[in-house]
Amino acid sequence: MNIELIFQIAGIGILTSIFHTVLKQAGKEEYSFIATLAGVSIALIMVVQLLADLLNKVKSVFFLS
Amino acid sequence: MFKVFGALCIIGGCGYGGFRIGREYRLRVETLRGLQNGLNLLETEISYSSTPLPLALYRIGEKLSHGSALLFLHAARLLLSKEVVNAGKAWEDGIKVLQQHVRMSKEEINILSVFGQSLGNSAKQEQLKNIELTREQLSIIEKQALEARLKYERMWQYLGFCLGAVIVLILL
Repeated sequence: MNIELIFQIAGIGILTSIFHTVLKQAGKEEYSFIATLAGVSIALIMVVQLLADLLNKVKSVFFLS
Repeated sequence: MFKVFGALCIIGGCGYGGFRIGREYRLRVETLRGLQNGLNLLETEISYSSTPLPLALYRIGEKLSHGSALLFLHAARLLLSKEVVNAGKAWEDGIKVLQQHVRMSKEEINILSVFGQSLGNSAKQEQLKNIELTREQLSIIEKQALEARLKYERMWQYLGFCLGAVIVLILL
């Protein structure tokens, strides 16, 4: 488990919130929503492989696969 | 070491892009102000000193700042060198030159080209009235441009840097 990934995702979270605030202040609510969505999906793409590994491990622990 | 250098390059590049976009808003306001000043001066040239149009345009172009001067100087050059004998056509060409340097909306171009159509082919009073009308329309647009500048100039500056930071984070 590399700790770097956690920091990376935390950074993306912080920057996404900045995006959201700046865009909302400029009166572009719809874009701020899209920016947040993009941030969430980027973080999800980073994590999805690890989630798959986790599920596989759970399966192997209980002899399901 | 290379990573840090690359990260700085990306953040700097994106930040610069943001600044460039933000600067366009400022440039637009400045150009609109310059055009209004130019029309003011043109009014004086026509009503007070009755200068011939090519010379009047040239004098005004020399007085104005960079952006809006292009329009007047180009039109004056065309008329002085007798490449174009129609003042409206010269004005139209000047608008095209201005458009290449400053990003302008269709509305502004429309106002300017309507003004150009009556330039130099009507009586003094008509022209003065026309200048007055165009100036009013430009001042309304300037107000809108100023609002947009206050709203979006800062936003683009922040967004540029943030976008750079996000790209760096994803690539890291």
